[in-house]
Amino acid sequence: MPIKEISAPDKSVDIFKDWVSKNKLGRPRKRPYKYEEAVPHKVFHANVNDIIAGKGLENAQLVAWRHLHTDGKGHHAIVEVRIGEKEDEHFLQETHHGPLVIEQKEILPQLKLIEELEKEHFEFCLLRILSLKIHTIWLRASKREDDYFIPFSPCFYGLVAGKLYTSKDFLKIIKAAAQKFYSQMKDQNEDDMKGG
Amino acid sequence: MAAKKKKVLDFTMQPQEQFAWCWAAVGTSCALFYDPNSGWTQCKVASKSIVPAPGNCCGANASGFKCNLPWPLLNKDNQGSFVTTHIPSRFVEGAIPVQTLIEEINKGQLLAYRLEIKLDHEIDIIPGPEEKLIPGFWHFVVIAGYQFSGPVNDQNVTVYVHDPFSLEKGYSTMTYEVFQKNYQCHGGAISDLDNHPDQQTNCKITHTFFTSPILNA
Repeated sequence: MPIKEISAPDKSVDIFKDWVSKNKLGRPRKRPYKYEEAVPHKVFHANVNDIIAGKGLENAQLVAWRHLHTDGKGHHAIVEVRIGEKEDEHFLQETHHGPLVIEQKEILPQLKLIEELEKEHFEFCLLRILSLKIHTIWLRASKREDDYFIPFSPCFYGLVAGKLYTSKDFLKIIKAAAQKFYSQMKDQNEDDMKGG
Repeated sequence: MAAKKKKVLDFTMQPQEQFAWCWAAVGTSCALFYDPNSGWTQCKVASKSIVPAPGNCCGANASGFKCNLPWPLLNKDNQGSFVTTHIPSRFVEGAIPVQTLIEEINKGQLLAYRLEIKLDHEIDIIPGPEEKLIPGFWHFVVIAGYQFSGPVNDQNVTVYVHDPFSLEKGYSTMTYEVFQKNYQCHGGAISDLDNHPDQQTNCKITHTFFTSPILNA
């Protein structure tokens, strides 16, 4: 099994279950969610400066936990629980709905079949760099250089959705992306009302 | 018994086709919502919106430097994807009151937002006299629905947010308060906002765009 089965903090799990209950998505449940049901995972944000400076993702910040919800009635959602300024503070941040929810759930068993991932155990996480429009599964190994990435669509800069990237290849691409972002943003100002 | 209300418009946001085309995706998606037969595509919108004229932004040119640019939905010079697609629109600075949001959705009208999201650290990659720090970036999204149970306020009203980047053909829900100050966890903690509003500036709404059905559609 290449993926570590981790548990989210109790407060995050409680917020997740409370959301499910309040939104009446399926019957309230008392038994705990199995790992493969909710796939609790961390959400990281990365520092663009670090990427440009070649420092990689060592300083990526843990910002949230996510839990997947699926029930027998065909409801799917990702519940994102934000971590506060104090590590033990948790708040319901947002929920996500759409094909991506199912896509994320279905990818887990597929990871077991990938030969490259057999060499060690990985933690299933999400890396989000909104400024660079990067949204990717981050398979965290014990050392950062051994990590793997699987981007979600839409993808840019030559990244391909669903493809497995080594840390080296991924960081090379996102470094170029960060430099492109810089060159595009340096001429913009707050008052031009543009966005991208 | 607490009041409950929900209205969600049947809106689909197209994923942005180029990394700087959130404005084209929002303009195209809104145009197709108001007139499904309008025929707009993101590359057509880009071709007709950008000034100076970039030529044909469909096909191989789409990702080129003339086409793949941040651009407005609507600005003071009457430029942008809402102008190109003939969506009657106007904007105000900042976020609108939640009650106004509800009224607009009740009328079947989409609201678009320009978000300013600060980076964790300023980018400073080019040393020397030409160095320019980049504190953040701007991004457009649409709100197409709401729901609440109980009092109508920013903390209690959940909004349906369609982002051309983050979820392909999906949407996210969050309170209107989180949307305004903490979008996708970019704002830091908001638990004590009343006492420390100065700490909460990493994510904010710079403009709200009102839209209405395309005339002669």
